[in-house]
Amino acid sequence: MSRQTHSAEEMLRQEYEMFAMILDETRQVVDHIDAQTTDSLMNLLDTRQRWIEELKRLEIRRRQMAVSVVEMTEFQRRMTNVAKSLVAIDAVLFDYVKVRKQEIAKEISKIADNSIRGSKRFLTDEKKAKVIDIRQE
Amino acid sequence: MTEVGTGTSNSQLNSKFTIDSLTFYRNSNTISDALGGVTLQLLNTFSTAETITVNSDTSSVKDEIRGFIDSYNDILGFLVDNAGFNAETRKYGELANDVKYRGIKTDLWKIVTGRINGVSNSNFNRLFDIGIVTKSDGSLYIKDADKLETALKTNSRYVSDLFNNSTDGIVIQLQNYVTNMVKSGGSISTSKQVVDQQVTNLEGRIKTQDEYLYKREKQLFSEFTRMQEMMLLISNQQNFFQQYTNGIIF
Repeated sequence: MSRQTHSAEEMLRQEYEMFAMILDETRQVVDHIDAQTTDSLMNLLDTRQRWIEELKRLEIRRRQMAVSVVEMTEFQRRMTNVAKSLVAIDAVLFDYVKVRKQEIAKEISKIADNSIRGSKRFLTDEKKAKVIDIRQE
Repeated sequence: MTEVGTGTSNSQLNSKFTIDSLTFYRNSNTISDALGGVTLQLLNTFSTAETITVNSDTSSVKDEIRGFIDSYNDILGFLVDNAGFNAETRKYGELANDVKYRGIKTDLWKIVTGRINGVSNSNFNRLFDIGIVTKSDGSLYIKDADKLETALKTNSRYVSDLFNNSTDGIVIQLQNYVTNMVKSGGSISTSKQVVDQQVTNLEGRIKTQDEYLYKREKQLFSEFTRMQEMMLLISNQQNFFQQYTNGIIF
């Protein structure tokens, strides 16, 4: 195995490990999704974004080596599987956030419609609530 | 009547007369203080005693009693409108939740239907005894006009005592009751203070609630924006992972 191939394989291994960490971290959050605060969800996504940036960097370097990938199929296969799991788990995460956003929109409408509030501000807020409902469509 | 005053010629004595063996001297020919409720105009002298028949003016007294009943019923009507339940509109009056106002009707009813102790004849110690009773809604009316007429003709004082005797006449009781209600520091004043305090408390609670809602709303708007950001982020990250699933990245 050439040194270049070895380095490429090492990069693939690193990429795979990052994928595995992203999956593990994401699973831990999604398994207890109802207990998560907006902050914790945002933290997860920020962390994942940093790893993704690192993955992109490694990928560019690996491509620049232009080595045969025949010897690397095992890491490729593993990464493909992890990526599939992440795509599936992200669909769940996306749906959850979407529902939560709709609930927030409803609560905002409820507050805006609250009859206790007879001030001028109330009328302004009611308009805001309507704009949000349109966005929801 | 032995002498009638004639002015300057007998200025020492203007009038002298006898009623039921009692001799009266007055410096006027118009006498209003010899017989209760009767004013005598002395116009001439008589050699023998004359009989004077005095009949009660029942119609004016009855008018006054009717006036009393009307005023009483007006008050009841006001109380029903403002502190009771209107069966037609099926709505409660604005003061219906105030025990003090709801109790006034009962208190008034007790006064006008109760026995009056300070009367000179115990046969006339209730309004019922002079033909005045209450309807099922508490209002007063003259049920037996003959009874009232008889009472007035028998002795108008009996009727007068019912309303005006200084101990516990109905009018006196009502007057005392109303005075206690409306005077400064009285029941209505106290009740108003309680209501004012409740209004102040409610306004405070509304203000607090309003402030809470305003803060909550701001918080929700912020959350909403973050949710949108998150959805975009998840979507982009998912697209990134998707590239690895079909091998194009390798």
